[in-house]
Amino acid sequence: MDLLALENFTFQATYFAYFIASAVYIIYLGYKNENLAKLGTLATLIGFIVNTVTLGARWVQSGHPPFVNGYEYLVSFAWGIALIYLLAERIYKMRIIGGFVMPVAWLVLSYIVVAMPPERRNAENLMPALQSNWLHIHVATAIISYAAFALALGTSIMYLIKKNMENNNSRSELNRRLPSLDVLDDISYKFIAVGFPLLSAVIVTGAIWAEYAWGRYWSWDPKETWSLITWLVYAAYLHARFTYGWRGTKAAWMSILGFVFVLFTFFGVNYLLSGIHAYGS
Amino acid sequence: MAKDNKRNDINSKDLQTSPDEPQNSSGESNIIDVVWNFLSSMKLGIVLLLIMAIASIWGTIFIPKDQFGREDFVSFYNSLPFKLLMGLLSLNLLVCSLNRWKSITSTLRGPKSDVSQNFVKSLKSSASIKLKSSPAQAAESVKLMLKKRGYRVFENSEGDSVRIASDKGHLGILGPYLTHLGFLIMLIAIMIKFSGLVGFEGTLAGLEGGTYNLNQLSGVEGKIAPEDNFELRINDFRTEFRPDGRSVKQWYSDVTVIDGNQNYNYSIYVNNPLVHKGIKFYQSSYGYQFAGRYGTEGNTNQQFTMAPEEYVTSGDISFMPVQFNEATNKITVITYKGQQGVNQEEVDVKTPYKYEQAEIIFDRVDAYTVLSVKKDPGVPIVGFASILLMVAMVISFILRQRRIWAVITPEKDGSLVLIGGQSTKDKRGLDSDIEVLSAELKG
Repeated sequence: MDLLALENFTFQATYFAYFIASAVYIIYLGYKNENLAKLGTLATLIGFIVNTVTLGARWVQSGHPPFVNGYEYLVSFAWGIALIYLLAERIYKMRIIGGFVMPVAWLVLSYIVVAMPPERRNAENLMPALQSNWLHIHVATAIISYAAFALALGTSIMYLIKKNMENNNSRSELNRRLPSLDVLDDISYKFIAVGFPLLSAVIVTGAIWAEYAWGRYWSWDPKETWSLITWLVYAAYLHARFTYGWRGTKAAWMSILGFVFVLFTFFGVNYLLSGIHAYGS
Repeated sequence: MAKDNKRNDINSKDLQTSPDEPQNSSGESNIIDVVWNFLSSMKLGIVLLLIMAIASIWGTIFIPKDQFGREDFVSFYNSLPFKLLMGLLSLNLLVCSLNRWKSITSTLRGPKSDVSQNFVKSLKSSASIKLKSSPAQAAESVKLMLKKRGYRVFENSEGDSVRIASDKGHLGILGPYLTHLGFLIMLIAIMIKFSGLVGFEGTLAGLEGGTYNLNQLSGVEGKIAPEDNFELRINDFRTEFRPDGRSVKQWYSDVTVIDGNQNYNYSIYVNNPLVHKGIKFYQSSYGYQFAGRYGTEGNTNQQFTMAPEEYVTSGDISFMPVQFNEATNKITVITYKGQQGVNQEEVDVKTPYKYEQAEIIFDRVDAYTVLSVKKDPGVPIVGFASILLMVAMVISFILRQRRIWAVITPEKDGSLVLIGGQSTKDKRGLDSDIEVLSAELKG
């Protein structure tokens, strides 16, 4: 099997595995069965492994880390989400989070399957401006940072659902099984606390790269500006939390808003706004 | 905010190190206090962060155009209102930092051990343990356990009772402080950079073989002190293609820096600028210049040197070279008769090309490179600020301060240990420390 065929096959396998994982975790929300949940973990793990193979095959074919065009970036992003989710599951031993996080990874890949024509998925040569190790560090940090925010998104949504159920004195099984509000809030905070310094590193490494490539570490390019906007929102989240004890509902909404901005920084800026990052699309 | 940071009966001012609202110590408030308190409030900071986010969104959607109709990303962020916003945020950061200086030094010194039993009881996370050992022995084991868990221990005894204060991760308090300092430096540097107050940006369009005096370049003239001036010779401009023969791998400008006795060669390419005396040269673009002769058929006696899209005219025929393909060594030439474009052809170098009575020969195609020439004294400062920001951020998330107090008093047949702690950032870690400590004490 040649590398391209391997890449395509493992991509399909990853997409399928994340679909199974998402479906199983969602069923697990309503149907408590630990073996079922373990199946979700297994599917995630298999998906993560074949996802790694996809990226590796792409890397070998193109001769550069798979962080360059939109396809490579999204496949890497899904990989990051699965990685962060697996870590979170190991740390917190709560498979119930999977139902809120793995669908994000699956949706990211769905975007490729549904909206990206095959020619846009091809491996490309690096244009001179992109031939920089700083670029690779820049994108690698972005993947992990955004994946951490994706996890916080999942637990923030869980928080709002749980809160709503508690307000309605819900006696449902789901309400009983969701982790306590405090725990959910704390997990969201912890992952934002991981994502935020990494987001700062994304901006800094991007600035270093821009300084080497064009001699301007900051140029108010829309992509740069949107990464700053995302940074400002999460910075406001952290400050509101420390000062006013903005936990719970407000914090959860802010975490969701932050992730909307993360997504816009990727999709919106590439497809709606213009600027020097246009080759990221 | 009161929900999470319970104000405590004693020493609340020294014990509180969470970023508080400014405290108006006495009733009297003059205008300076009011302004100071306004500027130092974290609420203002959060509001400014969000306003800046909203303004930035605006700036990416409604992008103004410059005089050539190109999008001008910078002008919105360089406008007075946006600068005022950044200025206000900088001031807020500065005043906040100054305001917190006292609480930082007191945190670094360590928590005060002269606390009351009521204070320890009032802490959210606390325990009381009766022991058979004497207060002194009990205090020793508490201290030992705290030290084993990495706490700094302070004590103070009064009669038979012993009071212990301890903390861990106290250096964490420097994290937010230095993070803000880093961000403040960046904000100021960015404001200065985009004001164009320091440094310069120029262009060097250089033909192969040409030598260029820095102080004569457009955008640079007069901005370099004569003793710092130097020259750059362009030796070669090369385009490297990938094996497919079409896509560009890299553009190189091989140059020689001529600066007194200090002459050396350097290859500038994209992502690899030349830096000499703080001035950076970036590979930014390139082009070709055509030289040759033209005239009527068999009589090409007029010389020309021209850039792409310039033209020469013989009779009513004009020749306009538009493009040079380095891979095939051919020039794309458009021929006009009067105003009318009549032909487009790929022409070889050194080969006569005729149209009706007119004839042109391209003798040479000279490549020139376009380097952007920049000096930005802010770069090392922003670099330092970035490192500071990153390191400090890691410190503030890794070192999370926990404080534990213990008051040990004599009891009938032993002693009573009251133990309690406080942590704004790591309640879980603190709770588990208190749990483990009391379990260990109980034996």
